[in-house]
Amino acid sequence: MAQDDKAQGGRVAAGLSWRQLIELEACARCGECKGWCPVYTQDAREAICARGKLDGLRGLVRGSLSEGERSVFLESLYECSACGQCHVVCPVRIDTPELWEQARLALGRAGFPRPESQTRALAGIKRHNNSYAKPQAERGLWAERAWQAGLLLAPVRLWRERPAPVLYFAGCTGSLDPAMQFVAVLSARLLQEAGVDFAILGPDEPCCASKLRRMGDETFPQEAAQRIELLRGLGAETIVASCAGCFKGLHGDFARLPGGVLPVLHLTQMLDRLIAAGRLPLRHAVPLRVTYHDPCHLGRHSQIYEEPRRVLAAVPGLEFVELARAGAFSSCCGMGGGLKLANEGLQHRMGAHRIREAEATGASAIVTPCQTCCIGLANGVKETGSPLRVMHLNEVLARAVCPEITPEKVAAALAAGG
Amino acid sequence: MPGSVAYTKPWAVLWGAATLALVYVVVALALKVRSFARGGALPPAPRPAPGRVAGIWLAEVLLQRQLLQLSPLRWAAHLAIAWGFAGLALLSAAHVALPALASVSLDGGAAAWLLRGEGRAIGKAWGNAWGLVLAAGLVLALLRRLIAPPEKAKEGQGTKEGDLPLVLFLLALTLSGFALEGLRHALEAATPERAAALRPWLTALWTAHGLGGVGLVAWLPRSTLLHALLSPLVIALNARGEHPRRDLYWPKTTRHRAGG
Ligand code: SF4
Ligand code: SF4
Repeated sequence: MAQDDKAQGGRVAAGLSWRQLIELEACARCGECKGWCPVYTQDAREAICARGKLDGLRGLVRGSLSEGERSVFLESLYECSACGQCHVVCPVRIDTPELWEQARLALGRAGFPRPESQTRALAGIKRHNNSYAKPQAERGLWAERAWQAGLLLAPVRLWRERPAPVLYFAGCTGSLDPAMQFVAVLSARLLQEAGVDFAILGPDEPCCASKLRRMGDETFPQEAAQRIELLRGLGAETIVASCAGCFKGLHGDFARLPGGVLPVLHLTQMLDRLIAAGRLPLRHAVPLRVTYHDPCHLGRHSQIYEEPRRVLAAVPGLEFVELARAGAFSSCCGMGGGLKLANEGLQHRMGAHRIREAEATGASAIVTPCQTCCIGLANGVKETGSPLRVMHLNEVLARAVCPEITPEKVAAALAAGG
Repeated sequence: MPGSVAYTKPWAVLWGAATLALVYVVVALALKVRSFARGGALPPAPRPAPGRVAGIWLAEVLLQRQLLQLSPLRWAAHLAIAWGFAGLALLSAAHVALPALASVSLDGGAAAWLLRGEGRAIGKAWGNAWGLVLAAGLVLALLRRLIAPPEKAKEGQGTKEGDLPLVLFLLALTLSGFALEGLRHALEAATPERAAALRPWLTALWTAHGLGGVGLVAWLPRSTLLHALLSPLVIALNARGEHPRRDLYWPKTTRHRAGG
């Protein structure tokens, strides 16, 4: 048995990088990560914070974990949104989110089970090329229907019909989630208002595959390589992604693979540039007091903090208040890293915690530029019964640019079209 | 020999223990390095300019900027302990290296001057100064744990339980060094009868202090103290291998921690 444990530990070690093996031993056990971890804040178990997970992984690699310790570790490794807060505060600078993702991959390879819900989700993404198990043909319908409903200034053209300098990458959620399709429609409308020449892939748009990396799926490098080849082959000058998760995938994860450095911008970066260039006229006042939630994938993981704040600052009549925990210290809503699949209740509590933090600012709305965070925060609103409104950044901008288009109108139009 | 006083020092015991400890440490560290080599290659990542990495390393390792942000008291304690250890380790290294260099005539007379001649006072002052810094750091660390634990420690979120004995052991070791110095001075000024009474105490304290130090070295690969060797390495590796980050190495911790 001990021999088996050692062999299994050896297989896990081989799946990590040598730097990560050093990181396991370098942890000073100081506990700084605990105080900041948004999961630990909701569920105070040592195993769940970064120090606990490092302890467990170290034991696993050495082959010295008891049966019970091993199952506790396995559970906690997946009850983590890989938000990266522990990386920012760790005095040793252990690259924890990278470590959790790589450990999930290494454990999978060594034959350890992952939560059934994640296994199903991963299989679904690979089977359908999207995380909603919908036919790919439906991917571009939002654009067609929005045009038919008069929500756009011009039809959104498909790349395969005529390429453009800019590729708008709507992502699975923006393309296929009825509650979030307004993000894609408003993105397109805002780009049109600014006179950007863009096209979408529509039915040819693949899932960005970043969820495969987050949950440690073995096939991520091959799946990503296919996407890299496809996107490079398009020859777009700029790829604009409106989802923070897609952005991290296309911009961060892919960059670590051969040929994977792509000309990607997040939509907020694009809008920030368009506003600065005077190309997006913000004509209408938006008399709201809002606060801003940094998505982990956009902030801590991709270093985009200032652009969305500049966009909000440009909106006339908007009053902005910063959350106590913001920027590199923004607390996670719990939607990332497959955590919601592993433990939905935990995500709801994390969302609720963030909503309470937002309420403390006195704002009437919490704004974020990520559709996944919108869903997570909305769960928090349900949990707390808060009167706070969760708004996507696009919605705020649309109120200043084209107030006649609201998420509700978009949802109604797309539903009618379906 | 100026400044030196005679009392029995069981060198054979100390060297025996030190040799065993060193062999153990070398083997344990070599096994660790071998276990690190089980890992795969690093993923390709943008390489920032070497100057930037050096700057990060100086700020994060030598000045421990991150800890200063998290808590000035914790920073002061940790910095004093780290620098105190480094200063004393340098002195011990000189005591080992200089005679070795002298034996092959490569020290230019430094060993005789520094260890036994007029320069001995400098070595003593160096040791006492860093000993004081170390002791101050350990006392601060002890106070943080016993009298004024930070908020998070009160909530059971602080430094791992079990490091209090380590702090106490280190403090005892440091204070025994000062006690040794005190007794040595007392012996210098003592009458022959008083000196005869002091010598066994000096021998006992010298042995305890020396073996304590050797024990600490032997414990290093198995204890959390290993982070003293590995964190500077991790900081350098991560600063080199990561995407260049604007937020990580000087984040406005204090501004945002209120909502903790
Ligand atoms: S903050 Fe870093 S060094 Fe401290 S316990 Fe957490 S992971 Fe380890
Ligand atoms: S990545 Fe986030 S959720 Fe996971 S341990 Fe670190 S702070 Fe906690």
